[in-house]
Amino acid sequence: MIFYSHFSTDTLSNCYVIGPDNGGNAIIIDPGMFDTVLLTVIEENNLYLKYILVTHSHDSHIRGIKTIKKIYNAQIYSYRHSILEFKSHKIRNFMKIDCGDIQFEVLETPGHTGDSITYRIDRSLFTGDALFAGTIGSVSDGFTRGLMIASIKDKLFCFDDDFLIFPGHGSPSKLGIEKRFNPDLQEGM
Amino acid sequence: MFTFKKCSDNECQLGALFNTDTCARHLKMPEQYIAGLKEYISATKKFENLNFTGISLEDIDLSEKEFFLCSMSHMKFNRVNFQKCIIRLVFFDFSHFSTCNFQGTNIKESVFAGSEIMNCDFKNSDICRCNFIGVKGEQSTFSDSDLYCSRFINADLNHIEFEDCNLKRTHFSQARLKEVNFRYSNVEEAYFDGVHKEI
Repeated sequence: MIFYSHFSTDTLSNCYVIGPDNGGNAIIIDPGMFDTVLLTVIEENNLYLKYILVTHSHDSHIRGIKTIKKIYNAQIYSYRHSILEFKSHKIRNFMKIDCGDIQFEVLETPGHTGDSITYRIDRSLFTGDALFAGTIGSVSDGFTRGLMIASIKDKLFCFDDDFLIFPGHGSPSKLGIEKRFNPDLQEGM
Repeated sequence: MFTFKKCSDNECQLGALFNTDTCARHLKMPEQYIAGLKEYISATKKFENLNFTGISLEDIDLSEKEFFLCSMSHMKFNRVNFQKCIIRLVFFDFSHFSTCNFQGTNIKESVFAGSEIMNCDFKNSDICRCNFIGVKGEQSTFSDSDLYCSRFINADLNHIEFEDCNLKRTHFSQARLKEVNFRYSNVEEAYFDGVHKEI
């Protein structure tokens, strides 16, 4: 499996590309920006962007979709029925969707936004702005903070400690690291 | 995302190490495996999507090697030379580093969380978007390094040098700092909320 993590210096966000080793249909998660570096990686590995997964609809996670749609006939998956001016497949909790050889599971983790989704692919979690290394995403008030912490614990803490975490911003982590050291998640532990 | 095959022990859920069928715990001849591994590492420049979890390396020169998406968790590194290595998406979590040289390394998006870092030298390195949360660091230096967007949240840092570093968006929240030197670094661009500082 090809896995590429891309940091956009424009949106300061992470974007991930996952595809088969020998080329073919690939997934892109949170294309906040679609630049020539990403395009080169995709083309050099004979990948075709077929699936766009959106963790939430903030600009820094979706801005690149307009460019991608000009190049690839990609389907969008998100909590919403549309993203920017494009139709999106509306996805909900625990749905499992096959993208060729790769399957992803939908885990709703609201709090940062009402439409926040974490994607599980194999033993990796793509948490968007719900969970970062050592912090949780920004929230508007105490209620949404409680909602986010509860959704992280309910939906993600059931997985093994060695599950990898790839957030929308900052460094990667592992679930066991967050359970043990993330100050925001220590309440009630 | 790692794509390791599973350890051949029926009840083990861990991934198999590079070039063998088992994890470190179920190695049948660990010393022989380590010796072979050292030979392979010495002769190889680039390592990608390999699993070295749980093994110990001592007195080995890894300088100028390149590591991409490798699992190096729960390892013990004693007197290992990582000078001028390129390290991307490597998981070193819950490892023990003693007297290791990381001078001039280029480390991005890698995880050292939960590790013990003792008497190590990270001077003059690019260490961007790396995860050092919960590390226990002693008698080590990161001076003259770019630590953009790296996170030392909840870390225990004792006698650590961060002199003349770029600390833009570097997080030290909830860390416990004792004899930590930030001279000439842009501390105003770092995050220090909830830090416990012992003078």
